Amino acid sequence: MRTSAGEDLLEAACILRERKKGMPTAGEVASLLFVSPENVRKEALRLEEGGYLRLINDDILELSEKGIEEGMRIMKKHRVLECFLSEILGMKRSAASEEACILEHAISDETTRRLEGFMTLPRGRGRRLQRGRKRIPALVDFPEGTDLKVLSVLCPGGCERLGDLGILPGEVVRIVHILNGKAVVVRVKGCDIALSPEIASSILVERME
Amino acid sequence: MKIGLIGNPNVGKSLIFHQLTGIGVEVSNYPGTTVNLLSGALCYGKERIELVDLPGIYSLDGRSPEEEIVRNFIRNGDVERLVAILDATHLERNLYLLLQVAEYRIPLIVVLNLMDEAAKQGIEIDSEKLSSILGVEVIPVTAIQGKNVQEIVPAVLFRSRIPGITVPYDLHIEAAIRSLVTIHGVSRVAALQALQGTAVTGDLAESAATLAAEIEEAHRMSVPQIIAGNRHHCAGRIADRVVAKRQQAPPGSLESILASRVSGPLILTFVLIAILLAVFFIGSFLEELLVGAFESLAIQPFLSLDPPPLEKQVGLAVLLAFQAGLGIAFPFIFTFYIFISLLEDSGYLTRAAFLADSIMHRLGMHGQGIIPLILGFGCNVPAIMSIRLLRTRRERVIASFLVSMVPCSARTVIIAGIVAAFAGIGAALSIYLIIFLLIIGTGLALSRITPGERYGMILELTPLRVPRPENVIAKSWYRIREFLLIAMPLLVAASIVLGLLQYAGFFDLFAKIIAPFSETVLGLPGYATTALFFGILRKEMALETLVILSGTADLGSVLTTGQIYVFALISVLFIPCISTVGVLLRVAGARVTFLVSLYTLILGICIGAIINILII
Repeated sequence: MRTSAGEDLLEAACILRERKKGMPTAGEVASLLFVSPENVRKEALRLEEGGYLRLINDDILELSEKGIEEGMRIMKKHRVLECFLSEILGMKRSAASEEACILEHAISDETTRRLEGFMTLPRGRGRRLQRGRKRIPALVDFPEGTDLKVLSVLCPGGCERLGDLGILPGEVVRIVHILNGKAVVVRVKGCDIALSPEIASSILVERME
Repeated sequence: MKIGLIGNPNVGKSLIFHQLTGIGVEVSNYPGTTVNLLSGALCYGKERIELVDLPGIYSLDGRSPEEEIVRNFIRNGDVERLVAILDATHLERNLYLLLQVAEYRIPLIVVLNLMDEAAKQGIEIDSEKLSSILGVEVIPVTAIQGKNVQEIVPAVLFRSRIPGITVPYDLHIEAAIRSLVTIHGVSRVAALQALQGTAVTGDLAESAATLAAEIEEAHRMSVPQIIAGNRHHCAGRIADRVVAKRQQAPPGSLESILASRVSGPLILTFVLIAILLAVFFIGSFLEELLVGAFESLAIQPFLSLDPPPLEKQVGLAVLLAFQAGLGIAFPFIFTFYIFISLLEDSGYLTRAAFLADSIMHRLGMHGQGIIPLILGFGCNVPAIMSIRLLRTRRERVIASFLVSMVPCSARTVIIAGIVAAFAGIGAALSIYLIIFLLIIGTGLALSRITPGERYGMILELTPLRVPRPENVIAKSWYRIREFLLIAMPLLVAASIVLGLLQYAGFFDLFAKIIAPFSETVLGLPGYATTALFFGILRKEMALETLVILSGTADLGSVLTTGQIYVFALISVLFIPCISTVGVLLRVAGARVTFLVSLYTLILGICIGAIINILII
């Protein structure tokens, strides 16, 4: 039977294993988890019984295949949860990470899979939120006269007209006018196109240097 | 032989059509004014040609009504040749549509219009090179001066060719097209459209959807976006090879003032108020002249003939209808349309739509919705017709309600004729204020409760141009024709019915029945409410009927100021006139028409009752 502490240990060991490309020590794991090395050793012995790892010289943790698989699974859950909490729910990254540490032990594989699927949908709101580590700015976030490169157009349905007018990923557009209500006029291929705020805010852009 | 004119909005298609056929069609500087297909006949040698002016579109794969009309038209093989009209000042964007048209493999020629403006902007186009790239004849034209327009017809008749250019699509798209073509035996065009999910059903749609999903997964972009990207890329490469631009045209300072955040809304408000005032004064001036002339030239001679009572009643009704239609409504409406056509042709109307976008959003529409509302001040009939330009049913429903409440010129006549005359100009303005508040309130409420999808505005701002007088007059005439052909016959018919009812003594009977309700709820004598109800047939007739029924033109002597105010307010709010109801039925359907009528009826009575309690 695995405990939260055990899962934390496996996860930490996996992280360290990747980071230093070698076997982690109990001290290293302890400092990553903010617990004492004694506790780590105690937990490691318990995991050794389950066949997840071998404790060499009472210090070095050698993960078994089963242990690596388990650690990676927890790591993955942690990442998915952290991403969901920060990118989609808008929590601070540090708070999201802390919360993910708690939730990762309770969440089922099924839920993780679906959550991940939700965030990587080819269309839909999940994708834009997950893709960038920080929010990608939209057309409406820039002042008049800025030249911008379109990164993606998220307008769901009914916006083929934008593509027909040349507002497509990769195209360079210039903001000609922007009103207080955030309706904008952009110049694309020499033509001025007026856009409602909700459409302009679904066009993600980056500033041209 | 049937020949279609195809091109983006605002490239001068209608102008060329007009010059080739001589029919007075609308030549417009507002995207999407040609919704119905206009066709005209002409002869060249022995060949009889039917020329069809197709609505301006940006793409053949979209889902807007105009795009569907054009797609069906050219796909069903109705058309034998095409004239593709391109705007020389925006060649790249225009080539995008041409590349799509080329896929239909219909013999065509290309007309490069607006060569004069291109030259002014320092753009030079090598039309021979363009011709060899596209594999079809290219004719440079300046339609506004009529330059080279005469070459179009012989060229399309004798030298049309199927374009040799094809867009190289992305490998995955090409592979998908190949498999759709092999499995389902459809054309390349049909396969492309199926991949984009337009205009397909059944097995083809199913396999196309599967393929499209795979491509989207791999590209992280929707199929329409990939296809549009490929086409734009191809159009851009062609444009690079044939266009030489000497210098960048400086941005117009007028342009920046008209649509800027600070001065734009101020100018818009000023322009609209100025137009309403100008129409009010010019209209009243012309009305006096025309009504006076009508009185002395038609009505007096008719009365002096002293016909028998029934004939006299009917004859008078017809004359009064013409007097009201031509003498009262016409001056206001025509003046109004001249101003609107000026706004439209100068390119200001699209800027007005842009500026009004955020306000119109609150009312449940978007920027383009302001056009029908403005038109409604002239006559609700053409305003309702223009509702067809709105993209979603939701917007059309909301616009139907709001436009029907806009005080048209006939209602202006009532407000000016009795309220301003008997209760003062302040009272007249307060009626406008009440109506505007009610329109805004109705819009706010409807935007919450009307079902349906919302789309935002995606609108090309048309270039600012100096309007040409003959176009302005032609367009005003085109609009007024809708009033004359649809509203006038109904006006005359309604007037005759009213005359007969009056002859049969029906009014007195109605007045007796309605009197208890009228006096207690609205505080109006029975005959005034009778006049109100018959105002449904014709708005300004409410005033006339009131004069006839009360037996005096000096309404101040029989009604109190408060009663006059209530009468005017109710008649302005009341069910739209019968002509508006007729057009609403055609444009918005029976259900919406019924709801609009019921709503305005209830609103009129309620507001009347409230004002009655407050001030009488």
